[in-house]
Amino acid sequence: MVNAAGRRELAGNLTRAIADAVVAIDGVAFLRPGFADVVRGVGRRSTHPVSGVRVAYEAESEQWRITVQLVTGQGHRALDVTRAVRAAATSAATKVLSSQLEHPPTATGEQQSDAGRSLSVTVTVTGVV
Amino acid sequence: MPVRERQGRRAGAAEGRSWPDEALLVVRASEGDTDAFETLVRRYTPGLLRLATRLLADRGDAEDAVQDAFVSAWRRLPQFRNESQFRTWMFRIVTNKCLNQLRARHPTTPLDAVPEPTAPDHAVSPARAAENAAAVSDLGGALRRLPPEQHACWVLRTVYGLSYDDIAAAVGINSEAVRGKIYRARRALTEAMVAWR
Amino acid sequence: MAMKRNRPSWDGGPVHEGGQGAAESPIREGDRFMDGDVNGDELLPCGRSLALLWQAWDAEQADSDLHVAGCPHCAAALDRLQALQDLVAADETADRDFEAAAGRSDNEAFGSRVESVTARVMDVVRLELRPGRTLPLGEPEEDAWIVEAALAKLLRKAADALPGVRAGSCRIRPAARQDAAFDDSDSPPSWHRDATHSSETPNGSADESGALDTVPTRAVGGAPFFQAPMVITPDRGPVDVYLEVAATLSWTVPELARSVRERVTTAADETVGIRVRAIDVSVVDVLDDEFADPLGGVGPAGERSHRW
Repeated sequence: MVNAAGRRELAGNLTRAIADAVVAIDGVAFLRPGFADVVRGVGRRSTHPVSGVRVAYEAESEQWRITVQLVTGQGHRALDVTRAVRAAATSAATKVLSSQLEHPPTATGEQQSDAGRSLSVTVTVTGVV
Repeated sequence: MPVRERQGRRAGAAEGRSWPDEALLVVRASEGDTDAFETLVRRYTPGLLRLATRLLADRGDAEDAVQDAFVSAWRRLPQFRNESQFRTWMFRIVTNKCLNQLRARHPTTPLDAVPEPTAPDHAVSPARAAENAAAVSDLGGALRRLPPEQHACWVLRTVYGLSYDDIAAAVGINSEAVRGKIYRARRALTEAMVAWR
Repeated sequence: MAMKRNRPSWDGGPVHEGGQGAAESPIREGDRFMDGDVNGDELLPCGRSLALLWQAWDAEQADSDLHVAGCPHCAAALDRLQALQDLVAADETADRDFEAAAGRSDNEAFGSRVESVTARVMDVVRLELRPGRTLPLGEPEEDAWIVEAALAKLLRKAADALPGVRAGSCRIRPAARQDAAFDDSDSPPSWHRDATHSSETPNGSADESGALDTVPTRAVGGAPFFQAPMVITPDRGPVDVYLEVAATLSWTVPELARSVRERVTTAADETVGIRVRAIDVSVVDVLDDEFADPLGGVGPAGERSHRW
């Protein structure tokens, strides 16, 4: 079992991994900026804009709830972008969760699919530029 | 900026004109279209910045006032029902922000500490400016000694040519009070002028 | 135009004082102005009120007063006010010359202040997500959404691409909400009014019989709108689009409604990926041909009305 501190660290790792995967997708202009990004200076996209990704563990459903809010670029079909984002976020999260499993992956395939089942990903387009 | 052709009257973007696409832009912005809002901001910032600089005599404060005014306009736009024109509405909000700033400043700030207004370099029109430069600068000083509301009423009337009713709405007092304040401002300023001569 | 009716009077332009005081003579004994509305009002040696004299001057009515024309005290008082006004005008002229002529660098300085204010405003504005609907993208089982403002922007753009057409209000509602249980009071008032006037599939040929005499017109795709309650999760169903446009007179209303629907239907599918059930097009304004260029110009325009 993962304790609270471990889970917090895991959430941080998940957030960063998902954000990195999502911003690399064609058609994603940027993740929805949060206040922290603005005080750091809008336009400096090199700083890690993770406020558009929220990760929370729901004990009841034993699920990682992942929410991605992003701004798409015009010229990209919004639905296609959200599908690519879902795939990338799921894959990135699965990789993180698999590597964090306490037992070394003896039956990798099974554990990967376990990780996949314990995720829910909501993708919302909050803007178009 | 359009060239302003008549002396004594400003024909800048913040007053006197509207654009035929304004209603469309305003409704788009009120529905959350940031591009439409940005067009409005670009359009009206020059005029509003001049107004705020004139009222506050401080560039930084003026920029803050205009920025605050646009941000609160953005938040209130969904409730904006075109009962007035957008620029008139912005004029009110900026005037209001400036007055709050002046009221906060007025009782505590020593007059000498108020920065000089951003008076232009009169070398540009030497003949006329030379004889007026000192007087204009004194006018600025006399203006800053006026109570904030008198100052605002006088500027809106004299520089921008707003009607008493529009000034009343912008300053948040009734138009009779506006008449009174403009009169008292004129009294104070003409008396100050007599003293210079 | 509110701003036109009242000009500063020193420049010789016509003054049409709005509201009270327009008709009444500004110089009048017993006026409430003299009764203490202006504290410390001063009477000139000739007995006239200084406040009322200046007010009359402001309204360009002092010249027509016979007393004022011949009174040295009134003349002196008006000279003082005129001198003040000249000073302001000189200040303004210097200001203007300064901006227009030599001060190129200061022009740039002012320009950069404008830029900086605009940038700061837009940083805050873009950060603030307007509370609003999120609408479903893709299939019912997908967990993908788009906020109404972003969708509206894309659909407006599609309508704007038609020559002489500019979109205004664009609202999108889940179509399932037509079910009485979901009847939302904030839908546009005209939403259901003439829903039966014009019926067509978004991609099909138009039946414009209802579009000839009335706006808004409505297109209903697929099954009859009211007889087919949605069975899927309401918030994941198709959406209805309510779009207002302005257009030049080169368009007829039916042609305009049909073209806008086509564009919006295509955009909803090709640039967004959202299922649209009905598109309501209202023609709310007429555009002058010369103003039909894309939104966002910053040049001044004529004053004439372009409203119906």
